[in-house]
Amino acid sequence: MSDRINTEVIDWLTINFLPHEAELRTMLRRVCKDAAEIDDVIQETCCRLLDLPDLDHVRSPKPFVFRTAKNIVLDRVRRDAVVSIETMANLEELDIADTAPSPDRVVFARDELKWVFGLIANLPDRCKSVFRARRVMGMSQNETAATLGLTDSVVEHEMMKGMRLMSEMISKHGVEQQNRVRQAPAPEHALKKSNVRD
Amino acid sequence: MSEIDHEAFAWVVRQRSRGLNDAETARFDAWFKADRRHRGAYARALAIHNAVHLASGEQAFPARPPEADDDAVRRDAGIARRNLLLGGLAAGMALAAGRFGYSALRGDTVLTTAKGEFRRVPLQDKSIANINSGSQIEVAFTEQQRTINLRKGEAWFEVAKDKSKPFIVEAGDARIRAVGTAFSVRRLANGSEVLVTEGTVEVWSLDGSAGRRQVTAGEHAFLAHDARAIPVTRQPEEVSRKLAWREGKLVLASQTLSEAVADFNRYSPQTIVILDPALRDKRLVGQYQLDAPELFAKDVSMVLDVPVTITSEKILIGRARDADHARI
Repeated sequence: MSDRINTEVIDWLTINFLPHEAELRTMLRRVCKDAAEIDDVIQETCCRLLDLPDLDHVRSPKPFVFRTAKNIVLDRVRRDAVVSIETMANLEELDIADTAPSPDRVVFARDELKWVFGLIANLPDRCKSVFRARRVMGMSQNETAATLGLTDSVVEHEMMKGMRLMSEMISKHGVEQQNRVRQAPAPEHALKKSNVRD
Repeated sequence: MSEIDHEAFAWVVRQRSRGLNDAETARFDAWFKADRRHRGAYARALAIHNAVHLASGEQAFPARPPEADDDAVRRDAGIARRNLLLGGLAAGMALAAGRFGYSALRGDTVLTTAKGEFRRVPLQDKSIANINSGSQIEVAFTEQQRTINLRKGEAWFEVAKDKSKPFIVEAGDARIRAVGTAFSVRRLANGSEVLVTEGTVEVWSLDGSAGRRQVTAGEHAFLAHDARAIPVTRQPEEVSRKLAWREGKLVLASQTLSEAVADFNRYSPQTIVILDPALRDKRLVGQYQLDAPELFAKDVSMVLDVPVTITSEKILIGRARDADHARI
């Protein structure tokens, strides 16, 4: 089944979703009833992005992600048929302006991943060495285990721990909290990205 | 993190570390299919793994040579391609200015744009014509006067100051005169629309029956074919909204779906068709790239909760009475 997952979508999520996840979760707090619902919306957002036939045409990924999440919340609101005025008002906040660097600036993967370095630095040493050995030396699990003097199950355990810690950090500290050099957001808040008035 | 997230991490770690045996593969497939949230959490887990994986490599080799055959490098290329695509339109406009500007300077007088094409053409007097999709202008400059004939479509002019030579745009019967200013003229079926972004222009109709009107920055004028008067309205926001094509954008500020579709259809080779007439008057707010009508269609699909079918030639919005199109 995993081979049916398009690696381009995963790259897209890595670059365009994870860095903004913390900010998105913060905004979702105002429209979701509890932490479990936020997790649900995040998961459904990823699922919807995964299901899109093509992400190449998304010009402003961050607003697109937020809008996708907003629509999932909207669907839930419609399904529950209980509309809180407050929720509807807060939902508007998910219509964010595009503060991405100007399109003519080509950004390379190394810059895109800068914020990840900061998070990895916070991982426990053994966790870091497992990821690094597998990645940099291209070692198999057995080789990693042998080189680091660990058993297979410990390697797996460390990777699992690393994933959980990274996930926690990504959900709390997005790219904005890192010392990433960014252009000041353009005050383009006047333009809502997508909305309907009947 | 929810239990689902932890399950997703476990699957990713097992797949990445030692692979799954047949029984585990079957279990994974069942888990993956069981719930949309499982699929989303799994995609997110793969992205996190991807981020760590890529970043661990980059950290160790910050100055990786480009010829290294490595999936990170291939990803670099993929990312660069996508970002380059973002700038495609701007680059296209710059390129067009370079390519066609030269011929205009040499005195070639008819400038045409195909559907979806934009040109920014420096004219010999240092004025600039920004020509919208599907348009044609004829440039005729003499010692006394600078004349542009807008044969069809729309163009926005940044006029170089030259008091000795008035700059006049002819659009059918409509005439627009500027000294040093910026304005656009668009030919529509029933007349010509003038939008002024800087300075003042004077507009009149050839038969003179409607008199002459001054139109200043932020104002909109409409010259209907046989009108007795030229209505001028002050609407700066509307003027800049209507000229968003200069940045390759289409801005919707409560326009109806049918207006939005007509706008996109000026640019896209894919014709958008609204199948369900009940949707035509739905009002939309949003901002889109002109060359991404399918993104607009997908948003319409999400926001209005209607099916959208995208083919290479057409984008169908809504459901016809007699047809059952697949949900996108």
